[in-house]
Amino acid sequence: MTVFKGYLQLINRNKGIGLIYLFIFIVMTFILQNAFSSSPDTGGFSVTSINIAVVDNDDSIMSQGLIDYLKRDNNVELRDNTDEELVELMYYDYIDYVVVIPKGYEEAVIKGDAKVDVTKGSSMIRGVFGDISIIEFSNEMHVLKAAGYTNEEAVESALIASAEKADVEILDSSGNNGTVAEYYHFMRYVPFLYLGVLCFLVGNVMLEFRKDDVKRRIKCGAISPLTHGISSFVAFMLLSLLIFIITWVTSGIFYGNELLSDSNLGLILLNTMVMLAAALSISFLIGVAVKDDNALSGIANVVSLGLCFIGGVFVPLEMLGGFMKNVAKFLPTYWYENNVNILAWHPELLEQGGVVLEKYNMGILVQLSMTLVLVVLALVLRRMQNKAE
Amino acid sequence: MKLSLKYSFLNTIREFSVTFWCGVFPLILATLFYLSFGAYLNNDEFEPVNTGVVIESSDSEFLEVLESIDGEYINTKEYNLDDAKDALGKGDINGYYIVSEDISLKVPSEGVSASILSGILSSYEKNITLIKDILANNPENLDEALAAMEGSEIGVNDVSLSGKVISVNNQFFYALIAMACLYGNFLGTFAINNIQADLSPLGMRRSVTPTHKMQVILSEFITNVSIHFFNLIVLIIYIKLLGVVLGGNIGLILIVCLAGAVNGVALGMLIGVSCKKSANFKTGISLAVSMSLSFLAGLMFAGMKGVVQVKAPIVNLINPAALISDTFYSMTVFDSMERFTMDIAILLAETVVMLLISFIIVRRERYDSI
Amino acid sequence: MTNIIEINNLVKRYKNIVALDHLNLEIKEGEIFGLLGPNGSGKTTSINCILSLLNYDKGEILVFGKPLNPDSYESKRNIGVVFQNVAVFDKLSVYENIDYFCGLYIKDKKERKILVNEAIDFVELNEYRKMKPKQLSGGLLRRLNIACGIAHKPKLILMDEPTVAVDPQSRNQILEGIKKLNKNGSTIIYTSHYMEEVEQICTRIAIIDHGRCIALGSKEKLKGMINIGEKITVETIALSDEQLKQIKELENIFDVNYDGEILKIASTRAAQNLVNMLNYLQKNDIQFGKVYTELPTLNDVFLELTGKELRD
Repeated sequence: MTVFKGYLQLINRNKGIGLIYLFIFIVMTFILQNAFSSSPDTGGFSVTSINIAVVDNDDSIMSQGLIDYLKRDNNVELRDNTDEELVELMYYDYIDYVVVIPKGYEEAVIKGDAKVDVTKGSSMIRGVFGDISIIEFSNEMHVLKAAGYTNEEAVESALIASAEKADVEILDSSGNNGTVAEYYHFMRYVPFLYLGVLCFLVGNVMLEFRKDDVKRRIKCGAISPLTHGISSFVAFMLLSLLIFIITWVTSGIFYGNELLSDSNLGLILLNTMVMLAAALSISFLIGVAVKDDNALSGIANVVSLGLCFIGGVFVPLEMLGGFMKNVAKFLPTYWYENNVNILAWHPELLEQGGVVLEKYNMGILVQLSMTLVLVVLALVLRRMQNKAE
Repeated sequence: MKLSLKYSFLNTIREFSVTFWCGVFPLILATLFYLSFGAYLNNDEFEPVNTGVVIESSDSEFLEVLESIDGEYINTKEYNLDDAKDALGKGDINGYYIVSEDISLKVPSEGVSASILSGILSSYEKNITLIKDILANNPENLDEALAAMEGSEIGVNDVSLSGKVISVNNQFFYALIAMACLYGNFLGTFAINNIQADLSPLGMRRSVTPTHKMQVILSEFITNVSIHFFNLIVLIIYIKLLGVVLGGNIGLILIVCLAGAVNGVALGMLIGVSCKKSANFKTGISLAVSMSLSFLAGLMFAGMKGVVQVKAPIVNLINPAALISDTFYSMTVFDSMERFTMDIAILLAETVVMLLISFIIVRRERYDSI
Repeated sequence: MTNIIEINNLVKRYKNIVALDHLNLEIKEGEIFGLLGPNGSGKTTSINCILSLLNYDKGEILVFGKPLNPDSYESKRNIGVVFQNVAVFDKLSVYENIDYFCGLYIKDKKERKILVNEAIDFVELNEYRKMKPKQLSGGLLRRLNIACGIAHKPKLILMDEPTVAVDPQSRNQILEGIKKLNKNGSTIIYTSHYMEEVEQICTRIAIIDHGRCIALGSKEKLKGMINIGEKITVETIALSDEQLKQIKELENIFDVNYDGEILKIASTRAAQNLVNMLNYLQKNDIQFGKVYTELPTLNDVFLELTGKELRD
């Protein structure tokens, strides 16, 4: 009990910085979720239209027709920004595509050799999309003019034809018209929050017990290493539970009924709790391995950021290359994010059970196994250190 | 002063845990970044969309259209209806057409692939509508119209604007360099721990010597900046080797590294003197500050700096991490030096202010308890 | 003799605790001034206030006739400090540490080199010049700590419990060294809770308790303030109650303590105390073992003034 209380007291002593960290990480997570949901580009992962900046140097019926044609499916703006401004807007993906309609476009279309100047952003796919639209319209004008239409008639026909929508069915399994609820983006970033806070707090507390004189004093004491270990484990579990509660109460307030009425709320909480256990085991391992408080902050930072980058938190799993994806499978964050994707995109299938539920359960089991492995590794390392001393 | 510099340098460089980790951590992070998304640093290539085709009527002209673009914009494979649904669920295809008298398309969600497949179908149906329209209104010109469909040279010219267009994923690396610069604040707080009487016995001894406080601070500052500057050079070389686009010549890069190093160390010193808590607490604050500033500069989400630019542009003007990452962006993308110069000027001005504040606080400092 | 330090009515509080309670002291040039008191009495606090490291609530401190501020660099040039905690750079060697700190006072390189070598000789750390603090034992570390504080031969040296955790041999060396420093012209303020050290080297002593100066003067003067003139101890003695009563009534004896085996007697200053005692024992045919007599110590002074031991 004394050791347990000792750990709690140390945790309490670090509560100031702990709360600051928790606050900062929670705020960062909410900002990330917000930015991700509202950003013009989420890295090319989901797009329905592209953002086009147009400069019209022809000012003809056909050039206007092209602009109207592009407007049907995309966000089009006539712009007079400088080149530098346009480059910056493209860098941040506020513009995907710049179109400069040259003077003489109308005549060139009729002749059949019109060339429009375009500048593509960093996404080739979006660029190609834009190219197809321009070439399509220009060709249609060329054909209709060859068929004897006037400029106005040709533009009108092309626009009417483009209003015809193809029979496309989105097999919507997420229940949100092909998008996901905002709190799923929040959930994506939760491992970052847990790792960041726990690595620092747990590491700091454990460093106190790693001081030479304290270690010697404990070794001479009447408490067995096992009791000591269990006491520390329980104390850290309490800390983790507290962080869990604070995180989810905050989310509950922020997302309100939308989150609380999610049919898979239990599965969401389970997945997060298991990730929290994994984060705790990683923090514990760091606390055992690191002896220097200068090294601790750096290692905690690298581990939390590193796991989040290669484990699919900041960079979505779809973006990871083949080799990295295989490497990521050895990280608990990968399995956590996989489960988040399942919860986000296939909630109905989850309820029905079957393969998808099995996949979710496997994700939970793998995370738990990894947690166990990490804890055992930490204990073995501790034992080796004690023997070496 | 020379003596202070000499021993300050020796003491810091021998303090392995501080100097080594300050330099190594950014290298480790750069490696992890590269492994995560290094392939996306240059503009991505276009890959054809995997598409399923369920043929219920084999004499549809749409099949000819699909055949003509197979391998270029799409990769097609024939399925029956059930197999197509399975393939879609497993992710083997991004959508499938059901070709019968009418043609329909099934996709799992909105997205780029869905838009391309939908575009192909729309294009086909538009052409049908146009032909029908010509037949209805100008049937005598149908042959000319069909000939025009075949033989046009209409296209697009790819041009570049005044600057280069680079992938926004490079922003991760720029923000990483910025964070590495701000890591200098650990060196700054370490230095203050050895100067302030309430933090260490060494600080006490140095507080009772006749050395001007400014000299003490400056010698520590110069020492830590030199060490950190070296760390940053190593990082830059490493990042360049990974293939990240870092524009500008070597001189400009050195200027940024120096400006970043002085800013980071000065920030750490300011945290050290203004926060009246334990050394451990100050380390925590240093970490929290550098992480938060780097976050706002795009360390975890590349577009964050852009979001901040839209919602609160003043933050990007004073956030040292944003300024540092912006210098790399400016060097890489723009030909003009105006923006680069402004960023450096603000960084240096901030440094001077932070150092002055630190000195003023420390100069006549007495404590309530030590 | 001029006052090198004057403390007038000094009050310092740490929240609800009054660490210094209207402390008044004058330290004269050329003396070794002892500040003696138990743990928590305010010794270190006094030193830190003198050095302008601590804020204080009331009072005045003059050093070299002037107030000492954090930026009183001229006055600081003549002060050396040996702190209670070892205050050296962990990563610099013995020589480098002393060279650095001496260099903050002495700009001339040649002069500094001589002084550094003298300081190393003084604390007898020649064999350990190139070693880092982590490689030194506690005693050697303390010697390094001292060398860093006195290498520049200051006029005023403040030493705050410099011999804590030091072995007896090192301690003697340190104390002899302090006397030598004083002979060479330095005024020394020496704080300790070890009365033997203070008695050995200090010319004038202030006993402080709870932030107040309760006695001030030379050791002879302090001992003269109390009743005890002599302490007699008789071991292995068997006494009856009646005999004990009779001993108590002997001339000059004012306090008797007997635990069944050892008899301790406190008597006022007089020539024949021991003789009278022995005569009584002989007369009454009382068997006894060892007998020894002691003069009163500063601990006795403290005990009589405060009712508790110096090491309480």
